[in-house]
Amino acid sequence: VLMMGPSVIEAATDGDEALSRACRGDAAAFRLLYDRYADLVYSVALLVLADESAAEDVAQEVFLRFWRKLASFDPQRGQFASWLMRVTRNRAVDEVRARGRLRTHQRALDEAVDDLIDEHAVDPALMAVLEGEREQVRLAMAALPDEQREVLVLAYFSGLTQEEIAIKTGAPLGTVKTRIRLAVSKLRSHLSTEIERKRA
Amino acid sequence: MTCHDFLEEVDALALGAVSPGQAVALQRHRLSCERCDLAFNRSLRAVDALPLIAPLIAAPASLRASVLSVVDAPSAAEPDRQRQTAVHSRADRPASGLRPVAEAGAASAVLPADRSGTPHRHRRTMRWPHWPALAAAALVLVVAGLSAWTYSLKREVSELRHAATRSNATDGAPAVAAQHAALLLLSSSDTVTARLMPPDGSVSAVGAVIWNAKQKQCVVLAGQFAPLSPRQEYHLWFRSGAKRWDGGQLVRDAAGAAEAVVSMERWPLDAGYRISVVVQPRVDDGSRQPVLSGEVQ
Repeated sequence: VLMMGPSVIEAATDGDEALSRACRGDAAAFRLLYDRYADLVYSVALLVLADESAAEDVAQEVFLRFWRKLASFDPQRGQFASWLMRVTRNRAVDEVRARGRLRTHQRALDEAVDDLIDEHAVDPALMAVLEGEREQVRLAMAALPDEQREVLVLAYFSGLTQEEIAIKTGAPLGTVKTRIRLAVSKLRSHLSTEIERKRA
Repeated sequence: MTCHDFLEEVDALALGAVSPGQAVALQRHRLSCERCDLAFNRSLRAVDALPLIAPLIAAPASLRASVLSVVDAPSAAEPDRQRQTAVHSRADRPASGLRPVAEAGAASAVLPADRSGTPHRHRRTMRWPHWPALAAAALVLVVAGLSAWTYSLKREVSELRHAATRSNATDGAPAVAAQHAALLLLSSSDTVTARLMPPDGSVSAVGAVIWNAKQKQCVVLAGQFAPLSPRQEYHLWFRSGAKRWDGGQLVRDAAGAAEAVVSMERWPLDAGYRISVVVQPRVDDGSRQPVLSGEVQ
């Protein structure tokens, strides 16, 4: 199945009126978007960086970058949420790389885990919009064999290259490449099936 | 680069798992080939879903204050000015955690007005008879400054590399391994989490357990451990009913944190467990002082 429709995030946040208004310079609409996505942006940065303070800096930079680029953003393209997540992940990984991969703030992960069970800590509107999609992605990830899930997590959240993953896991580079291809292919297939099913 | 070469790496490219040099070559090919561009976008859409497995954590109030203070500032319509006010290092941040974005914005907004004021006009009318000498001196200063800056940058990069190598080789490895295991468990279904609390309700130590019965693995993360005498150690115990399993020693690092990845391969997992972190003598005499405990079902 060729997956050229929206990603799962886009499918859940499609046709966002607040985005259109924000792109016309409406500060109140930007505030609305901030409130909707801040927890997700911060959570992704925190998961990559394991440092609350650095995650806050990255989240701030991402939102202000969006605010500065509003005029050049086309809300009709419907890629806002994906763009936001991608920029957040990339900035956070850059930060990890700049620190020589030193993840010293162990407590951040502890607290992340603690807060998992505190659902009141996050924006209920976002939870409602994305909860179904979160479950889909978790199911898709859970369906992958351990070694394929591992390469996805190491590449995406730890920011490791294929060569670095090979060194870290002790697997040959060719094996790592194959695992990445299989993992992304299965993820794509699982998620596109879900989106098609929802549309139908 | 051929389309075959590109398609071999397209998923890694979408994941950001290729080196910068390789990424440039792959992107160059993508821009010149419609078919490969489509393949890349397909991969990217799948990868874009990955952030959704991050556990949702509430963003701090200080983040909202700092972002919206820039948006609400009167100068917000001018992008360049925002750029000056937006980025603050952690070192700039006051103890309260709130960043002085609004104040900095106000300060930068004042600067242009000052520059266009009387002192500048006065300076423009001044005559300096030795201006070529002054310009040469300024040039020397700029070159010297740039050299020092470059040297300092090179040194910083070298230190970072050295620290990374040292960390990978020694202390950092167990912590990173535990974080890696925790990430994998958190991205799996059927994972449960629980807090580990001090038995007396104090806040002397904190902890959490991430548990997946299907994968027969759990990760224990703890922090704020007090230093112990050389004869004592932090130890992990699991109990289910009347039975007890030894989870091994928890090694406290210099920052007071400890973590363990425990394989439950040989343990029955049809019942809940009580997990305890205790202080006990290195030569176990049966005496145990509980530090943290919690339960998973």
